[in-house]
Amino acid sequence: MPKFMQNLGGLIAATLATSLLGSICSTQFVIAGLQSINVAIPLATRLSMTVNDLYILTALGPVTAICFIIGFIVAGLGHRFMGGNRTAWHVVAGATALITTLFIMKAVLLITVIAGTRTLLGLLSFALAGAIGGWVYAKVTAPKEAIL
Amino acid sequence: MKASVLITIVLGFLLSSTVNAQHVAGDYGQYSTTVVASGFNQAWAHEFLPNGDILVSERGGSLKVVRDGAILAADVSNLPEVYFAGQGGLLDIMLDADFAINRTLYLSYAFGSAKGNATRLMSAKLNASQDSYQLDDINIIFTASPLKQAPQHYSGRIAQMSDGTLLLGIGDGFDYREQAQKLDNHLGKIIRVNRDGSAPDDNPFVKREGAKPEIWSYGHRNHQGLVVANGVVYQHEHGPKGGDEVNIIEPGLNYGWPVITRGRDYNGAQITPFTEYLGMQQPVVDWTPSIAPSSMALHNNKLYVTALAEQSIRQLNIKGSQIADQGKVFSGIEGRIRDIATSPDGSLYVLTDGEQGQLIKITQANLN
Repeated sequence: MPKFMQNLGGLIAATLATSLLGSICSTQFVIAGLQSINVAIPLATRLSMTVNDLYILTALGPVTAICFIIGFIVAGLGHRFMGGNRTAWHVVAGATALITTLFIMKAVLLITVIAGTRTLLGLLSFALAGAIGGWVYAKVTAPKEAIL
Repeated sequence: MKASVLITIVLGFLLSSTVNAQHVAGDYGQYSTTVVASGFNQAWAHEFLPNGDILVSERGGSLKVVRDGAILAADVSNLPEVYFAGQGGLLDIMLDADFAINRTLYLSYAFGSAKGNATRLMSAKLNASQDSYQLDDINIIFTASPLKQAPQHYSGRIAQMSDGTLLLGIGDGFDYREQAQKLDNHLGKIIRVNRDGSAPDDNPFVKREGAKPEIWSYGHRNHQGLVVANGVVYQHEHGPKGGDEVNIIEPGLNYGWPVITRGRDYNGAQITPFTEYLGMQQPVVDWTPSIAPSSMALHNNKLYVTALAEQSIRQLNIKGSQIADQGKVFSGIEGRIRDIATSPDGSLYVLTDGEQGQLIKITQANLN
């Protein structure tokens, strides 16, 4: 498989994994916010809201992809010139790129765009989602010798 | 000589009025609009003084004076320092019901800094000296608690009830929406205070342990319209993406935000799975998709609502405890209409925001 296609496949897989996890996490933190004001959320309601919220993938996906492109280029260059564990570079890049993007959007728009990231724990959940995206990218695009 | 000067002035006035007037076709017929003054920067509210002057607040912290179609060179002096960021800054203006006697006006504004800010209400005496005005006897009568960080959703609309008490809308602060359901803070509330800022003894939560005594109603998002008419309090608020509401406010009631709404978050996510919930009031009008209501005025026993997104004015007919949205009275004013008010002569005036805001008089309006 040409390297470009491998990288593209990795980017798509990483974006899907991170946006999906991010959306699911955001919904859970929004629900936690409602529960904190004594609103009862039955399990079925939680599930349906989680599924409905996947709609935000249409916005979250492209944003994640763009920040991952920048983050993974930096990670690739860092690994090439500074060495170290390739997967670790991409895990850190994935988390950092996503969180940085959220901070930039907040600084520009003066609002928290994703309600689930209003709390520190919610923000950390997105860092984790970004890290998982970085891990997915590193695995999908790993050189053959590294896999073997 | 004097007669010719007078004729020249009258002709000039008529000519300028003719030049400025624009005829607009609306759902209810033809209307004319006349630009009274222009050049306001981020205007938010206007208020008519008994002598015919008009005060216009600019979010940056200036209070302009319009006299005979021109903006006076001198702004009203002694204004407080405001926190001008996001949606914050100098907001609403309201004259006391007894202004002719006590010269008192009220201003709402965003106070604080990026680290901590809030909606604040002050009173002052408006004193005139030649071609300028100044505020004296300034009293900070209310500051919403706690301070928040996001510079959004201050609300700030002021109204006065027949007993002289003041109502102030306070937004949920955007990032703090759950606080609208808690009575230990002022976010997402309408508060009612006496002229000196103290809580009236008959406020609904004045005796409840842990509740802020100033709270009049709760469960609100971002009020932009607040009108008291015949003892009834009408309010409208921005929903997020959809879920703009008009409510009839009763003391002590919960208006639902963020537990019930027909709006969604700006990214499309659900705010809540509920549009109804036990103990929470339904709006009398819901606008989904959003029109972004920005202000409201009473005129001939009808409510007129300006809409930022729709760039229109809607007419709401009051029918007892119900309100019927009659749709757009007219649209066609360029720019976002931020404020609407009824002048002492019975005309409607609107104010557009942006960097070249205009004060526009709606003339020949058959608004019946």
